[in-house]
Amino acid sequence: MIDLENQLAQYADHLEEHHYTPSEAHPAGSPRRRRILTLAAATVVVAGLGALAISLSGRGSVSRIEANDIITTTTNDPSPTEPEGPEDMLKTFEVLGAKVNVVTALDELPEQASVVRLSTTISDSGDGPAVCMGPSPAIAGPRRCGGFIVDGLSMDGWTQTQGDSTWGPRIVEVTWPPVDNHVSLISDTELVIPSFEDYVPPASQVEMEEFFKTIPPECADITNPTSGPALANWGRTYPDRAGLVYVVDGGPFGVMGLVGDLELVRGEFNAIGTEPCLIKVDYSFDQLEKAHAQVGELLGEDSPVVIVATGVFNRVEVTVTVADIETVRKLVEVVDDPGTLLITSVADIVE
Amino acid sequence: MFESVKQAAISEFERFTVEAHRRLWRAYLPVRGIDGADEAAAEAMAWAWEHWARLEPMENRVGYLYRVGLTRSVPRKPLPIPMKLPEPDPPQLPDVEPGLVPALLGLSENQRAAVWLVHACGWSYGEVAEALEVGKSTVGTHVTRALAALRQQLEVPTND
Repeated sequence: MIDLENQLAQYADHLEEHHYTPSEAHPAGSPRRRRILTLAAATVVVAGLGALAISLSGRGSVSRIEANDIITTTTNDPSPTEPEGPEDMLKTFEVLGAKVNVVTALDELPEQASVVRLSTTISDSGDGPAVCMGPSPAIAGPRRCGGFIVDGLSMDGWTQTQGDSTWGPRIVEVTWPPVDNHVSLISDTELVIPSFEDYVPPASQVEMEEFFKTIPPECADITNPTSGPALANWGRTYPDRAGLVYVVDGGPFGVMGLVGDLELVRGEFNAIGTEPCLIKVDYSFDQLEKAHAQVGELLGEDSPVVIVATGVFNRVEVTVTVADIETVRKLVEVVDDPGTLLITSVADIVE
Repeated sequence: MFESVKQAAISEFERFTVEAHRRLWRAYLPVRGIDGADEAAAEAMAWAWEHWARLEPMENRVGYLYRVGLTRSVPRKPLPIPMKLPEPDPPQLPDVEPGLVPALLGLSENQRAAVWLVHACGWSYGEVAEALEVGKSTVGTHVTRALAALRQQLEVPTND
């Protein structure tokens, strides 16, 4: 009889040997990567408009055009290294109070998208070519491979086969929304997997890196900073007042986002001999948690929403396949404050 | 010079991804099951890709990502109760008690996660404490009680 600790290790080894699929071998791995990085760029844009405006101000601007209480639009300045063309125009819209990131050539979001473009993995489902939405960027339909079927798409010439699985990367322009889990192909082209630096605009990389490595300007004079853990403890005690908490350059300098009176809280820490770095944010943990839970209620239903996360950008980040107004409205309707939402579209809206 | 620095950063991320994904997948098994572990690990790595600049300086990246993956991989539907893991195959694992899996799944989630991360994944108490957002002493308590409960359940003699 061997000891229990080793039994656990042996069992874990066994599971890993027989059930684990390395991430690089996953058919959806590479296409997902492109989308994820597109989201990273999108997040930076919204951060510049919202909670993190202190460091990223000047990156974009919001112009308001009233139209049936729908407010549009902000265009991200494309980086020189980003591919040019309308299909790569990342825009941030404000719809019904929620921020929406989508790649589109349109000046306003349609009530319901009718043509969308997906850069993704397509797999042979047995019933036809199925879109792999992946566990991260997904909406409307089954998750992972086995999403909606693309009628009219030939899988010859760009797929690979391993065992029973056939798949390949492709850019498909299709009709939207799916009808009985089917969409019709309008056009398809090769999906070239670009290198890392083609995905994320260098400017965004630098800004993100600098943001978490740079002390906020209003805290530049602090000589005895309150540590990140101390701020985090305070934040856990007062989740109705604290928002984002992070450490600069790995610590020990901590930064805490706060709603309400900053001076009052500053005084509390000064009284114990430290100087807190406090920045104003729009929403507290409590507010975000509540919105998170409200959106989460959609998860068990036949809803377009499949991923919800409270991110570091002081918003509840929601990823949907197509962020047209109809989809956004479903999300906005369930939250108390639409401003808490940062909605990102996986597909590019064409029409 | 700048290009070579950037390439090095990319390589660093790629190296980190391969190992971290495997470690996270294994870590999630007792709290999310096989399918859930796959999803949670993917979510964690997606977040890592988005926030590499923030993650890169951290000492315990995998521990931090463990929490991220659990938070982001919100199940579409409630997890099946009781959650299932494959039973050990006796011919392949002759030394593993047949009742280990049900006994493991019978533990509280905190105890299950702690004992698994320490003994099945080889994480230090400090790493587990960070991942579970509890103190080291709490990890120790969870592990001790979990092992005691497992031994009692399996009627395994103590090692003392």
